Amino acid sequence: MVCRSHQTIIFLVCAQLTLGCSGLNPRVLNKRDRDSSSDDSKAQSKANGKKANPKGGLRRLTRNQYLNSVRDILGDVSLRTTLDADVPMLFLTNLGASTVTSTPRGVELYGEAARDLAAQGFADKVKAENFIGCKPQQPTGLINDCVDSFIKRIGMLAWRRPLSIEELATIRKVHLIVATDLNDVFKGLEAATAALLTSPYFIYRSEIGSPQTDGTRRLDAYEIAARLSFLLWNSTPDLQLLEAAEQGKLSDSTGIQEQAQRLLSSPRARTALKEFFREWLGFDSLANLGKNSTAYPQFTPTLGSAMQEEFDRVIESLVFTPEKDFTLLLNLQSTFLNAELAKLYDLTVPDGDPKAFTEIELPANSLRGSLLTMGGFLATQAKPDTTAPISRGQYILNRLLCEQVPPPPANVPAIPPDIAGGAHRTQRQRLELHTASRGCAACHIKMDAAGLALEHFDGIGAYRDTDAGLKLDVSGAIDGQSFDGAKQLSISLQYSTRVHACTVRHLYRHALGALDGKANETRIEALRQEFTNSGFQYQKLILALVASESFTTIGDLR
Amino acid sequence: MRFKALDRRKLLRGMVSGSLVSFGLPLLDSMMNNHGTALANDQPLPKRFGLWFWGVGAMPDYWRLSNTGLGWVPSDGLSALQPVKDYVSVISNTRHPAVPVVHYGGQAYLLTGRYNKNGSDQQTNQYGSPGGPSVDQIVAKAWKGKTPIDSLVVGVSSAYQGSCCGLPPTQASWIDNNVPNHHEFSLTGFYKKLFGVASDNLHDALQRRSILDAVRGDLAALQSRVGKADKLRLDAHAQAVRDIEVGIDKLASSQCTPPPAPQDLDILPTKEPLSERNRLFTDMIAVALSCDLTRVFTVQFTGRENDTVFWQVGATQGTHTLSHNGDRASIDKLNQAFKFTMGEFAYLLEKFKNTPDGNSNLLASSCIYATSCVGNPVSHSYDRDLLLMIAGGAQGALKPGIHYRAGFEMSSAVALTALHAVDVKLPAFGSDGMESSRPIGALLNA
Repeated sequence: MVCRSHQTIIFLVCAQLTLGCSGLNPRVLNKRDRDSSSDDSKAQSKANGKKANPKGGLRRLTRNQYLNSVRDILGDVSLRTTLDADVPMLFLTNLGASTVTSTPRGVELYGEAARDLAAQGFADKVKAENFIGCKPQQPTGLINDCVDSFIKRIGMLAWRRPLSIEELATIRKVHLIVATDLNDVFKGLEAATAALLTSPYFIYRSEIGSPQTDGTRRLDAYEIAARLSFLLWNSTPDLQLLEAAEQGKLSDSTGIQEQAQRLLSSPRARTALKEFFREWLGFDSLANLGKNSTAYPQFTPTLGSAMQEEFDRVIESLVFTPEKDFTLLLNLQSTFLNAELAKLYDLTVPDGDPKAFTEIELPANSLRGSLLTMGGFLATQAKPDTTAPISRGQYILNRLLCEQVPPPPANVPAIPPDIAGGAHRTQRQRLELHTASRGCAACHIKMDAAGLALEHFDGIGAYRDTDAGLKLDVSGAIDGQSFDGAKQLSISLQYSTRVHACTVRHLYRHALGALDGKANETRIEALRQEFTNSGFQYQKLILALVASESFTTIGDLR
Repeated sequence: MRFKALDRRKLLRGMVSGSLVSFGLPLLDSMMNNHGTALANDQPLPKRFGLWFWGVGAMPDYWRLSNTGLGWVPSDGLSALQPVKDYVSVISNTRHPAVPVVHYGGQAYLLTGRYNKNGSDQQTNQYGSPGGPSVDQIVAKAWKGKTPIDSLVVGVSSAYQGSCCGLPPTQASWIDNNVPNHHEFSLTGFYKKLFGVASDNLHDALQRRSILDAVRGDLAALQSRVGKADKLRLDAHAQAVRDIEVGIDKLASSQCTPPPAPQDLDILPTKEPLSERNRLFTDMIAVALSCDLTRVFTVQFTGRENDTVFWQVGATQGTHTLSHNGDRASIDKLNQAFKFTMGEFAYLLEKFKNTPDGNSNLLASSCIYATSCVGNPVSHSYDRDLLLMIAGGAQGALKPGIHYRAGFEMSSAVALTALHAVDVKLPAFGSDGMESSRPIGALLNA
């Protein structure tokens, strides 16, 4: 370790930090991960076997997935019950869904929601008959073909697979009890629907598969269908996808890719993927951002929303324009602005509706043109009244380089404010304390360098030449790559293979609900290669992932 | 066991008259012995436990008390507590080991005694989160099964609830490490939970039960196919289903008279009806405790690091934003918001005081632990200037009405004291250098 002679407090304190920041191949260091890669050679020898595959198990539907699914199943219904909160992991709700535990009240509310939603689905007799698809015969007690076919169809949509004979019998029983009690076949079917939606088979997506001779588990066709559909539509599979599963069309990568392409071509994919990018890149809360009105009088909730809209549109154009290079996110030739946001950027939009968004070509010498110069990033990764270079740097490390920065130790004193002895100091001067200690420097040398490169952009993303009259030094280096300012930093990240790999990792975690560890490195690397070879087309990356073994096969059960 | 109805109008009249009116033995009278001092079967009267939380602390100069011991004189900040101050002990000057990040660490430490430095978000943030169950859930677990509902958890202000921007979830109540509790924000949902089952007709009940039967079978079948960690998750789910079934029976047989059903109020972020919502929630909680539907409750008045806009005092910005502004005008607004907040806490205490319980009142039966996530809002201090309170009598276990200025105690001693007052006698509260193993003797009757 680094710590030997200079045992000042701050040194000792910071020395603990080196662990997560010094390695060449920084990864997520958590228990599950260590378990799967405790020993290099062991991990290596098993790399082609079981452990190369992600872990599998149950993933609870996120709130959005729940809502999208019930609408796909029941039609136009509204969720009038608050469900348990999502608990994101590594920024992603879809990853947190693999470990989140339902609260007692949450379980109760799943029941309430199911009964209310089913009641909405059956509220109108005429509509209900349409929905049922046949005329169930009164009197009610009988299980007839109509009742059966309805339960089978709704069950298939809700549970994302056909029901077994026993399961069918259980749901029929619910129908029978209620229909007989109320002498009303519709009430019976409503109760059967509620039972399907209250079941853990609806609330938790199963990615369990069945064991193969090499110790891995292969997901069944329906589990693969659900993986596809939750990845690309954030909802339950449609009947066409379930039929493809039934007909064995998802047994090879060609078949899976065909369905993926079909789903990607629907507008629903745009909504679903946008939500994922918002989570990964931290653009999910801009409307609620609070800023100090004295420091930033021009910041308004509508400006926050405009920042979010800019991001959404940029992402959509990068992902859904054919053959577009996704890494241009860090080197944009154009962006989407309305009048309020254009003003912040010192740009102009054509006259007309000031709220309307227009694609604006950025001049070659523009200061903008990167994720890292977008207002949404700069404003969220800042304090209410000033910039936050450490947060910005940490964002770059965490979200773009997938480098985990361990939390600071408990007894680090706060950095003194930016006024020292009555004289204003720049953020760089304040943060010099970090790099003065070798221990702190292990993490901060990178974080601070990356963050300080963006100091020309204030706490809401407006450009500034100086900080309180002081000249800004925005030069720095990460991993031997030197840069001067936001533009150069962005371009060096655009060409960084680590950023490309990190892009892959986030999709991997989101799609598979599993963490990537050392044992999965070959897979990640192969996907990065394919991504690179495609000219960084994001849809090609998605297609490569769904065609890979990682998508259809799991190692251990969680 | 049969409960008598609580007559809400009588109680309101009692409040209006300003002093505690004896209504005779309410609710639990059929369960009482002849003196109203114990249950008919000589079991002691039930104690109740509450957690009352507000976010963003309070300016120490504004609430600091001038005298210690019994008969503390309210400062301007705590003036709303004047009518109930004999039931409230204020604990100041406790120590608090430094945890790195202010709101998160402070909340984690004060409410759970445990700080998970990696956070619920596992390694992604430097913020950390509560590392175990919060005090209310510790008590709920200890008292599990005694009442139809284990605990009630409500959120009054919905500004900045849940998790945001990669920050850990903000909930005050935690079931365990990584399991933030569900907070009820809907008045109608809460009403339905408390009083809905009893109004179910036979058909509703049959439907509920047949669905739960089906679900129980599904859970068992699924549990046999999953790995270890998933099995634990499904265990928690299955336990909740069993609790619902047991709870339904108990709720259905209770004869608790519901208060008037509330309507959900419009919530504009800059114009939240905080007082109205707080009072409607509080009234329902008082009835639920009084009828023994539950013995544990949590009110998260405002969330950790909340940006609740206290328009009632003329604020146009949220409290967290105001705290970062730090100028005189903002601090004035923060102070007024705090005074308002204490007024809402006082509403609950008065409501309890005016709710008969045995031959005494609900406040005398309760122990309510109240605190925030930081001390000084402007400096965001988390290791000093903390305001902690324990309100109520806990059936004589607490010595209320004291200002206790801690000499050496850590903040966790206060939570431990509250737990001991309701006979949840943990040997220590907290961990990792945050533990206290001695409750504060000055606040407890031997």
